[in-house]
Amino acid sequence: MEFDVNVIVTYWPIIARGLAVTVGIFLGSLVLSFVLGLLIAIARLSRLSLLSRAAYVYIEFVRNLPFMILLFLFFFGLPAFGLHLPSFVIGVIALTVYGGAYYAEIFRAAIQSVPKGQTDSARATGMTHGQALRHIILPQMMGFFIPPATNQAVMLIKESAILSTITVVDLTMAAQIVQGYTYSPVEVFFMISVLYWILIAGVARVGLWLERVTRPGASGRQLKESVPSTAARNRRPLIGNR
Amino acid sequence: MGPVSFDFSYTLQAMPRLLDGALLTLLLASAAILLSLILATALTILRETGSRAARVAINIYISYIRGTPLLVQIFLIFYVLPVVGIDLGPLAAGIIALGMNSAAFTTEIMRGGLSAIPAEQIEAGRSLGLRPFAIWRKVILPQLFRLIIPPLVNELTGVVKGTPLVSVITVVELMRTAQQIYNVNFRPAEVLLGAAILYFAMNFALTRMAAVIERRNALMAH
Repeated sequence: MEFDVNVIVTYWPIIARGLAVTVGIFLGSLVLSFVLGLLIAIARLSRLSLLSRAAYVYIEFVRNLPFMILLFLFFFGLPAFGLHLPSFVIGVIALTVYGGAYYAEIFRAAIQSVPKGQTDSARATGMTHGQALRHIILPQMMGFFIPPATNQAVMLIKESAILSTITVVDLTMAAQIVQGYTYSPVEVFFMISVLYWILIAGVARVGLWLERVTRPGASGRQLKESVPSTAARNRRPLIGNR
Repeated sequence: MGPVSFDFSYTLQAMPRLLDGALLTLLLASAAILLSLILATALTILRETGSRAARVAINIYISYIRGTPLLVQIFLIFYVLPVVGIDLGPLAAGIIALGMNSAAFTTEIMRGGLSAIPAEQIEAGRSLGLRPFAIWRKVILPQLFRLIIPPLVNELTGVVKGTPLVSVITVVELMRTAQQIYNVNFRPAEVLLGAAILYFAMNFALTRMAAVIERRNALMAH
């Protein structure tokens, strides 16, 4: 089997444009699913049982579906209800709805991970509510939040490849276009898989960096023998999900 | 056609054929998880006992699988197999792709399970004169397989969620069955809803099953 690198050099502009589209879709759906996830987590933890129940149904429904079927439901379902959007937009909407359910669970776990006594103690020492949140609650939450949130971001990139099946010209679709010109699918798909790999490794690296800078005592003003951070205690391998 | 045209009767009409598709999805996922388990067992033993080079290679494999989209892996396997002289058709390619993908995750599950087996047992096996292979076969693996059942059932839901992707290489599972139906009746939204209900039912049942097994294991541990 011959591995022809020229294919990749010749068609680099198409690949590069696909990569840019993938990165754009990723960043857009990451921000949106973050916001949606936070809102759903708040609804899930709400005292109004109807709201909480609805959030639960939403989370369970989405998390038990393959992303592809969700994407196709939006792609064909929205026009059936008279809403005609470009496939790129539909893709971002589907990724947001999908990621939002997972982020909701990550937010909920992080919020519930800090015992309520922590707020009470901080307030008792004379901190304002904002100070307690900034110095006591959020730093502890971060250890629970950042590793799974990074995982989920990686999952968004990987699922975004499926947008190629609804004609979005992302990195995977670019590979299909190039292999249509060259009939060398192995080189082309291997090449773009390495690009995905690099992109995902980069995101994982950013996650590790965020974990480090948000760790309690990262500013260096704490005692050396302080308790290991929640992040260190709950360390999970990065890139966990499919 | 008016602005809203959703007719649930098309969903019901499609159900019998969709159920056949779902059965194929389950068979596909079962074959893939079986392949995954065999591959992961081999990778686990090799990673624990093999050379440094083998360990590095396995870690790169796991990182690559977890760092690239399943869809791209499916295309790669589909196109690579004939090039290296293996021409088994799309169904086999789909099972191999899903199984090789899942193996990376199952190997990591097994690593977690291994840490729950006390080192003393391996030392005891050694002092009884068991060979390394016998220690794996008689001491480690039987316990490991029992330990990883709940996460493995969860992994199976991951595989089920990956199966619609093999529709792109023309395997007629649930997703492609749905596509075949709506290509004829032009009712994609209704038919896809039916498929979504079936995917949900399969995965929901599996995650519940994993939770029940996990609870029972936790009870037995006490």
